Amino acid sequence: MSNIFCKLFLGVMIFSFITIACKKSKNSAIVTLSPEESTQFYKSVLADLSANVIVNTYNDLKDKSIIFYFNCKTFSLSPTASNLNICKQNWKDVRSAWEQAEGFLFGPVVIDNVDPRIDTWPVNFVRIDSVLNSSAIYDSTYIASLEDGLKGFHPIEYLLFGANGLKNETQFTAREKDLLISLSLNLNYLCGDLYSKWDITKPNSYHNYLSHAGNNNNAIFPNLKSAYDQILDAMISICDEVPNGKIAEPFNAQNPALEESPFAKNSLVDFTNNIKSVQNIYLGAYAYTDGKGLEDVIKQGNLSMDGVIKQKLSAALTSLNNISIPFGLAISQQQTQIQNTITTINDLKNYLETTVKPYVQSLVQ
Amino acid sequence: MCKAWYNNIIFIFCVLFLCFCRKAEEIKNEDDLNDWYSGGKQTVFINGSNAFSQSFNGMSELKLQQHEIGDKGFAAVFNSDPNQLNYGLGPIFNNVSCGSCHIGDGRGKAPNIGEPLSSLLLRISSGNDINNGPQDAQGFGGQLQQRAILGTNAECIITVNYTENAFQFADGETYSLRTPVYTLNNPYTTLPAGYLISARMATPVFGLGLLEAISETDILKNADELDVNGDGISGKANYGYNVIENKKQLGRFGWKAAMPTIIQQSAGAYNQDMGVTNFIFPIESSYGQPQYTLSNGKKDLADSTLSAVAFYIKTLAVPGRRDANNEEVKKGKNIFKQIGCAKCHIQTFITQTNMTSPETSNQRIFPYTDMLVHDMGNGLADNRNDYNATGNEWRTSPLWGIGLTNIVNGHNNFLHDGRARNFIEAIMWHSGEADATKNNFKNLSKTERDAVIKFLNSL
Repeated sequence: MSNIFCKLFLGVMIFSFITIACKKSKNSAIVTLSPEESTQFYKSVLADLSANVIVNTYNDLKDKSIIFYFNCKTFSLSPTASNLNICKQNWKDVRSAWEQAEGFLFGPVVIDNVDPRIDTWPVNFVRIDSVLNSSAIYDSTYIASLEDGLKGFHPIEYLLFGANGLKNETQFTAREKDLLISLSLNLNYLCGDLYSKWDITKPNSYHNYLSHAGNNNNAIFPNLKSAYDQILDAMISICDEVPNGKIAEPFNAQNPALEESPFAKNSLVDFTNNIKSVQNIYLGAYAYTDGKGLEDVIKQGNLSMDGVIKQKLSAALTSLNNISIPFGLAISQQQTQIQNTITTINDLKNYLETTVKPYVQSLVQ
Repeated sequence: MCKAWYNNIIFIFCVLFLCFCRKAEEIKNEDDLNDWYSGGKQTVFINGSNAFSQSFNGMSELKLQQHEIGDKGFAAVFNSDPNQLNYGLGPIFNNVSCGSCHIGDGRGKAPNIGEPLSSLLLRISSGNDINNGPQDAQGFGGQLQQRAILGTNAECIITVNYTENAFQFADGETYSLRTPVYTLNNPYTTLPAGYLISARMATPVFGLGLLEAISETDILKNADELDVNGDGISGKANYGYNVIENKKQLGRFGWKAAMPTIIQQSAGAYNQDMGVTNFIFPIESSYGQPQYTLSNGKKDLADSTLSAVAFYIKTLAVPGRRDANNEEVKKGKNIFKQIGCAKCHIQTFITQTNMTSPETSNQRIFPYTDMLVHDMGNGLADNRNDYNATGNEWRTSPLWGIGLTNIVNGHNNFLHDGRARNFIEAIMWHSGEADATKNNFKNLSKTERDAVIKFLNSL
């Protein structure tokens, strides 16, 4: 009896230990890795993050821009209200992918000067009207020769939505439809080029440099630290630009003409997607893909920091969501919410800059 | 008591003696230690694509704010009139923002065959006056603008082709050098007879505040125009024109060291590269052309913006070295000195004391330039004089940060027109005064050449 009791007691103890140990293991990501294991782990995070977030975002951008281009052609042939609405929604879809790519503005998008060619604002109405009133043929050479402010998202936005945002299908001239098609083709070309430079299947793609950081002869990222610095600098950079540039400039000047996407009234969505881009990098997730992200590096040794980052990301997104009217109006009518958003996103930026980056640098060599 | 006091004195003396011994040891290695800090206290250890875009350390809140305003100005994309923001582009121009040429505050990229020029431009002239500089080419001014706003003609469309020539090192390994050939297509009017052109690549803009802070005396110490010391190197000072102070002044910036100050360099780029007029250069680059009448005659750039952008450039820190203690890097550095590279690529200067600019004052810096122009041989010559600099002469390029070019700019195109595609090609293009040094490099073993390249990559 006593022996059975002892065995039973021992069994319960072992079961309890295993259960607690497993539970502990599941709830706490703090693990100790050897230096070799750590290096492999940090590389695997970069590879996941690059493939699942960056490459997938650019792939999405490319695919959506193709759909947009073909639907612009369809609208040109069949200028119905329904087809126009499809184009308008397509523009917002492409825009969503692009803004979610702004949390990693490094590599080909910078080196090849894509950003100014794709996303310059405010729109120069007068010059666009000159383009429309000219007899120029809108071929790729002509579009490429235009100054940067006359191509990319915002001139297209102006053509699609009109200066008041209420343009309907009957208000399009043949020249406007021609220019719309050519500009959307140019947009598609630039988006496709970006994806191509990150394409996982190409040996010299930027993905291969990032995901193999620290390998011998890696000319772009000679060590892991340079890759992690790059990622964090890009996150910090967009968390600086949104509150201190995109929001503050029209807000301080009280000039809605300086806002990013005024015609589609899409500026708040743009800003939200910028912060989501930072969140995507942090979580290692984009749309339906998910893998390791920066959070896995942080959680490995500092769960409380992980919690703070997520809280600050959430606060930033909530502050944007609290602005309940279009941004162009909010700069004068919801100044408290605007100021709160500036403060909250700057708080996220400062935390990334002064706490998270040094912490990651202390881990990754 | 007296003995205890005596013992205490002896103890303190010993401690002080040991401290001084330690100090002496540190001083002995000071050069090696400082070598990591390329920009003195204005060195940053950032290795990513932002490596060239960091502000000076230790600036006041007010100066940081000014730097940030300048940063935004540097990135601002200009539009043609009328526009809400950043207006005044053109009517003829090369690019739309400072940052479009100096990507990541770094180096421009050479166009491939068939590609339009983006961060490379062509100067044009009909002659030179050592007091007033290159003389404008009739109808084209001093620079070819290959883009134009609507309703205006670009001055011409520039295309580039390259011819390749293969060579061998002493050990038999081959290398190839490409020579660019520029064609000026569809000029808006007839090009003047005997015009001269010079290709100029956008240069990195970090560390310029420190280069501006080197005293004229220290730069001139290395000048030896007549090669009095007989070492085959005859560094020469170029003197450009300071437009603000209305006088000739030692040139420091640009490929031929013809530009005396950062603010004038910036103002000139706004005017010539973007067609953006400003208080230093208020006349449109299209002056003298029929399309000049399209200019509205107003100054496009606020004085405060120009000042802020110049301040931004002045206060960009220098990236620190990587792997400076690596044995192969140290070996490469020694070879670099032994074969003669360091005769022109002077390793170090101490900036002058300046109470109004404590950030740049009295700093031991390691720019690897002498800020002088040298005869680089016929292969690199543009055959176009620029103030005192002849067609064969080019300023010794600073080498600090050069190992991060590929990371920041995605290429390793070097020299004034970006013809070199890597360090080897850049070295092997050296000629003229650098002929002996180039040949020394040519005769090195593969291992030694690799060590020199590794050293350059560590800068």
